[in-house]
Amino acid sequence: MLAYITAMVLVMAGVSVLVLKDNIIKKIIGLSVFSNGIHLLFISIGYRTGGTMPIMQSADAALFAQAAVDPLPQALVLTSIVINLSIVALGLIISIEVYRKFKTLNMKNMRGMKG
Amino acid sequence: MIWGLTVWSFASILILIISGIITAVAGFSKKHDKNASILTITCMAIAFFFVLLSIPDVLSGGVLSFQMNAWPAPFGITIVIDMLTLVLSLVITGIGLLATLFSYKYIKKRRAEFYALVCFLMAGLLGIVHTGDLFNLFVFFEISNVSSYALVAYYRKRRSVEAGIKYLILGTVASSMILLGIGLIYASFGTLNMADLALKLAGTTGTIVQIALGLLVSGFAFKCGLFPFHFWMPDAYQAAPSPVSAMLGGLSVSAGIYAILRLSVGIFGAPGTLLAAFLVLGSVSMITGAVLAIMQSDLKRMLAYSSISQMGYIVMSVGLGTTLGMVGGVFHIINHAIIKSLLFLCAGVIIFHAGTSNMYDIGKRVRFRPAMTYVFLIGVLALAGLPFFNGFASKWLIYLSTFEFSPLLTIFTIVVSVLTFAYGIKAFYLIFLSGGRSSLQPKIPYTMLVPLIILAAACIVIGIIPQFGTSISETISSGLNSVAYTGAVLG
Repeated sequence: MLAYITAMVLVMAGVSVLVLKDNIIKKIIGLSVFSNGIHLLFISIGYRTGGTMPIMQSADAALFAQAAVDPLPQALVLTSIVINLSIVALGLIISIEVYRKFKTLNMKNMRGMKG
Repeated sequence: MIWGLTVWSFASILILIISGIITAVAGFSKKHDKNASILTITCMAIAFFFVLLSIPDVLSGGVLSFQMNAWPAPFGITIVIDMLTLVLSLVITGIGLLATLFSYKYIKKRRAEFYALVCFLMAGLLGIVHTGDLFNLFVFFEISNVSSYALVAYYRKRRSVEAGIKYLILGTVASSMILLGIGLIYASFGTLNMADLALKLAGTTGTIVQIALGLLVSGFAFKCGLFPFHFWMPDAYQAAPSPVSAMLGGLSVSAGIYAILRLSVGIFGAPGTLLAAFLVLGSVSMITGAVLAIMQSDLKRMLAYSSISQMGYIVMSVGLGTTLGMVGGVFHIINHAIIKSLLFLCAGVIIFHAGTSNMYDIGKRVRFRPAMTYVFLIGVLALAGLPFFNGFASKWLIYLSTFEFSPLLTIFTIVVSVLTFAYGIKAFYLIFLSGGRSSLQPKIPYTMLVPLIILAAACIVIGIIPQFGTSISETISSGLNSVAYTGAVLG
């Protein structure tokens, strides 16, 4: 239960940073927090209190299914963390370019685009 | 085939990923920079050939599927190829090949970076239409998204980096919503296989399911620029290099619409509330996109708003919930991909020679040869849906299906088509007819002209013989919600 609440708090914090802050770096931090909240949600779906690691050591499949934690969400989160890493890296690289071109990182002061 | 592959068209994804990696590595040395374009064009051609090879299999076998590494169905990652996948793969690899050929002369600097990203974008889009696994869908979605963020910011000018960072932030929010939706689905049903999910979902109407569906559909609606999620689209398309605009505006939106169709109609069984939302959002997108497109002075920005409007057509006609509406919508996806990439590539030629994308300035600077004029005119007329062009074939089906629903909606749809005609003709007049005395007639390189002529010919051929496209769309729409899909996957 605690994990679900923490995940929710992280998602809310991430979204509020995204909406309320204008600085690009802060927005990227908000994105990161947002996705980490979802990762925590994924992990807590497969979590089982007192469960064993999902490596089959005995031949008894039914016992294994009862005892082990669900390995699939962990694999998914690992993939998602890698994706998130690449997005954060790309975002920071683009924000370096933004600072070089605009001399500011504030979204509201960037006015290159017009209709 | 190698690695237990039983389906040729999946090999096209592998070859594009391999070519992307080779291109990126070769880019470290300046010497090989030129070879990057040739390598990518070759690999795109091979990918197109692989998709062509799988046509007989799909035509004879219906729905093909295979499991990665031979894990049994609900556990391993499934690759499914049915008619919709096949047609969209043909469109993606075919138009992708033409757009890479177009960029041979268009992109002059940092070629390795550009072509590696294009390879990954194409592989991601092909993966979206091939996969039968929800999380794998997310992964391919992110592959295509990350490469398109980098491609939008490719020029590193003020406009490009601004559009790139906006696209990145909004796009990541959308993909996080998709991830959250997938998490909710896995928590309640314990499966990520689409066919298995469709069986488990049958008859359930929980709040969690509706929230998850809402999150997934909004995430993918972002990719195709449907009304409340369209804000990134004009900026990104304006700032991106023109071949990339063609890929995003023609192919990326098609992949987004594919994901929406597959999820909402194929797996969730088209719930009534969702269809009503499609009807409303589609109609609002149609009129907003068209009205905003008329007001633009920038050619590529206008085309981006036009994409929003045309996506509205597709989603609205799917939202009608009738068979005819579905057929029209599916047919319009294909036609829109062809028309919009044609127009964006035309915009590429125009920007290449005039140096600006402001429509009011282009006419004063350059006067184009007749071939270019006719190609652009064909694109504009097809977009507006005039008879004997492919846009008419699908829009006619959409008019018919709206007439069954309510004649008022038909009038509204025709009014939006008239607005489409208005902004298309405005662009045509400003660029080609208000030339004054500028006598410069640039010669268009053949690598640019040939893709344009092929796409324009496709517009006319599909327009004159629409029966073939209509029958394919009927096959697709009857296959979308049938048990053939789940039967082929789960055996």
